[in-house]
Amino acid sequence: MSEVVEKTVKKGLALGASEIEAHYFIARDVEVKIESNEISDASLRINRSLHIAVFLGKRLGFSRTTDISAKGIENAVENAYRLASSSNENPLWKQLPSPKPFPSVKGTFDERIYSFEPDNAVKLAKEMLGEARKDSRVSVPGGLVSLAHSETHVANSLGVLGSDKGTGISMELMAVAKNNGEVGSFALAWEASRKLDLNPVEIGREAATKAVESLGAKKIESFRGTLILDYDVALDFVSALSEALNGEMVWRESSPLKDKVGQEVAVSFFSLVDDGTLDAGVSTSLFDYEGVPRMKTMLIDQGVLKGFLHNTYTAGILDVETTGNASGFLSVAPSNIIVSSGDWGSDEMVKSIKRGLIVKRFSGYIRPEDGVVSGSVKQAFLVENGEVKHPVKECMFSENLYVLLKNIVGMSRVVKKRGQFTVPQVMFENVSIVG
Amino acid sequence: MSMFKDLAFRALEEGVKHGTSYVEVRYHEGTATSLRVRKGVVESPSISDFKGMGIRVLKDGSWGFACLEDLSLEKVIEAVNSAVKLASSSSGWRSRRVDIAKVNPVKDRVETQVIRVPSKVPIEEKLKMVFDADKAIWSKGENIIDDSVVYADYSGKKVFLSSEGAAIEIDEIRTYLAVQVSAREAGRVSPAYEAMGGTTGFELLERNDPVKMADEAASRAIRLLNASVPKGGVSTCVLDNKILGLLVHEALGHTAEADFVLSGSILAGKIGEQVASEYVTIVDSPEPAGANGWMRYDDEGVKTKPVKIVEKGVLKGFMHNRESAAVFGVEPTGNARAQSYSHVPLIRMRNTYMEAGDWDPEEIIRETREGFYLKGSLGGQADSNGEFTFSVQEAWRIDKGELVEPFRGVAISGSAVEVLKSVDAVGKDLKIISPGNCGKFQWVPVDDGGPHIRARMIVGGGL
Repeated sequence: MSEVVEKTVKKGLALGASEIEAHYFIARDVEVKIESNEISDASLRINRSLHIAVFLGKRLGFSRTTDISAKGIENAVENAYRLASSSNENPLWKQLPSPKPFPSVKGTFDERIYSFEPDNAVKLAKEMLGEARKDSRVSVPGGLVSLAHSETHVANSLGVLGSDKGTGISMELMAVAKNNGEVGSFALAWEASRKLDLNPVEIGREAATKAVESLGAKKIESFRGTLILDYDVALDFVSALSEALNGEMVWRESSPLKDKVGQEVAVSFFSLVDDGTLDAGVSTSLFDYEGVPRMKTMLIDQGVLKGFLHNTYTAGILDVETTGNASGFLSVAPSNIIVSSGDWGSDEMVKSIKRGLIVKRFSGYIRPEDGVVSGSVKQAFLVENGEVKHPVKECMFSENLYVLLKNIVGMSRVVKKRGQFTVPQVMFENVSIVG
Repeated sequence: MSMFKDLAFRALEEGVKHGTSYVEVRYHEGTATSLRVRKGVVESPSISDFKGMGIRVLKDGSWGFACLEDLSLEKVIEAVNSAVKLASSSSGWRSRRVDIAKVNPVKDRVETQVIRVPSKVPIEEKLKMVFDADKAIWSKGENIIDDSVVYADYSGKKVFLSSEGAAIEIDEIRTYLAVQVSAREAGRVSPAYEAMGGTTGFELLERNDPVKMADEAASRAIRLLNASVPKGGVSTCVLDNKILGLLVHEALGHTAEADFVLSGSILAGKIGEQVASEYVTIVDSPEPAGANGWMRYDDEGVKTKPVKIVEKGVLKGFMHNRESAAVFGVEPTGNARAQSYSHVPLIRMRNTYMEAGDWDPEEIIRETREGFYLKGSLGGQADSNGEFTFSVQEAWRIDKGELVEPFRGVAISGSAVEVLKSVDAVGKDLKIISPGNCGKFQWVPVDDGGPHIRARMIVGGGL
């Protein structure tokens, strides 16, 4: 299938492009949805998309098509060419990446997913749902099982040429518990992997357990105390932080971290790495969207900011090297983000708390531009004198992400892989909680 | 086009061969143009075209779906068979068989009525307009740190065929312009956002000046830089058309989608009950023409009709597709929508708004002793229990009927039902002016709005 991208590049050069890049993506995925305690539908999607970027000096044009016939490709190349001709110069554009050897990566392709019979996905969904429904108090408003395999081909006029394939599976289940007229808060359990190694029963059980433990929630008065962010909430915070580490936000001057390379931005036991070559990582691949080899980039090392994530465009603007994080035309995204582990046991964290909350779900926003954290705490539990007392009714907290990073008092020894993020539980002190 | 229509008929024929009780085939093709300009530079001009087919079958009381872009007869037949197989394999696991409400199969052709077809407007003309808007933003001075002016248009064709005999062709045209601005001073960042668009042609941008829109957004971002942050607490709030639209859509609308109702949303089992004050009537409508959620038929081929969700405070009805309508024993409302051929239709809103009342909007502010006037939204979240947190673009403190002090970084929160029960004034100025994309597993274009209203909710500061 790499002939599609090669043909496209040739076509663009023949038309008069000074540079051209082509990216072809094919995917086949099976998805089984759960709705209102039932398997609601099962789908097979076979999708493909050819992306073309044409450059006339510093003028850019971009097109996309699902039609890969000779005529379809020609038409799409012409569309991109026409746009480039009508655009003005983008003085920030330098040039496309040159070819470089790709890394070797492991665990990104599982033959069992590739040759998976769509009907078997239905069985996985049934097992997950069945386990959650064992407890008669639990109902399942929604869930999803998805298995996919994909191929990516990339080529550019400077000689980059690459092909990669991968597999992935993800499962998620939302559960809610009802008891004596009381409705608990929504609980979500989910996992993603490159291999057929997820256990639907465990995911079903986790969702049900979380849903049931939120029953009996009590209102609390506002207080200042300690906050433990459980894995899924730590992920929300790290995800917002990774946006501020994105070269796009940096060159647009909207990241508050933009001038802080070499400075302390977090406590000394906090490190954060982006690793596009992580074994079996959800976002691991041979190369990024532009065909630049994936690599490992230290972003925060023992609290000190080391750099940002880039594609060739943002790297060119800031005069640094690309980190192989191109995610689309001119856009940048993290690959696998890994936060260092701490030295606390989860129980030790709880025992150390005089008064505080463990938060398992957060609904609100964390604004990377200025660090504003605002929203409601869901699935939270009051801790007093080292003991978990009871679930609490929704409360709010307002903090600042960048201030919090410097106020982390502990992180768990155990880190968990949550999709593309690997995170510990994180503990902060002196947080204002509004009941 | 006729070639693909024939192919769609072939897919339909194949689907009915396998003991299915219902088959639908959706063919969809389209072209989208997007021009984004930032600080005088066209950053990512793009043209995307697509063609694809989605086939959904109902067999033994279960759904199966397959879609593809490789539109050869062989691959299409393979996809139909996959859909049939998926339906068969799920049916053994269901406790309740899927049934769909009866509808009269329609044969029709619908065209979006426009004056200037956007795909026929030269790119240079579109770009000039975007450049002018971008220039207006940067002319506001050094506090502006970032912007994005995005022009987008879309034209596409949909063919819907069903085994019941429906054959509907829809030609769709959409045009949009959105402006985003960030201003900064001494570490404080102030964002502003404005958008216009819908099922309309390029005339939209001739009737509404993009430069004026950009100028307003930039002025607001700068104005709010030095505004202070209010103290949190429950307050009386006057909401403008846009923030009310968000409340109506996110916090109430979703809880009235029948699939969410079946999953136990806050409105489940409450038809006939008082869920808002007597001044409140909330509608989800396929009209008016030009609105972002305008549609004549839904993606199950059902003729769309308005749904009165709340009438004078009483919960009246839910939004349905054919499946949920059968469960509730009501008629489908034409709310089944799919992002594209590659998606299964889900119950989605269209244009959701609160109907007008009899207050002059200025009078609502004048008659408010103490509280906040909240204008525009910057997004937010709501749960299926109707609890919401929204970020407000601009807030003013009201003191004895006067707007006395601006605030920035304001968030509002509360429970939709409690907030709607507290509504004590509804303006005459109904506007449906918030084109957006609603993301409930899939993206579909929607609109929302309402008049100015007054209600009580939690106003959060410190942002």
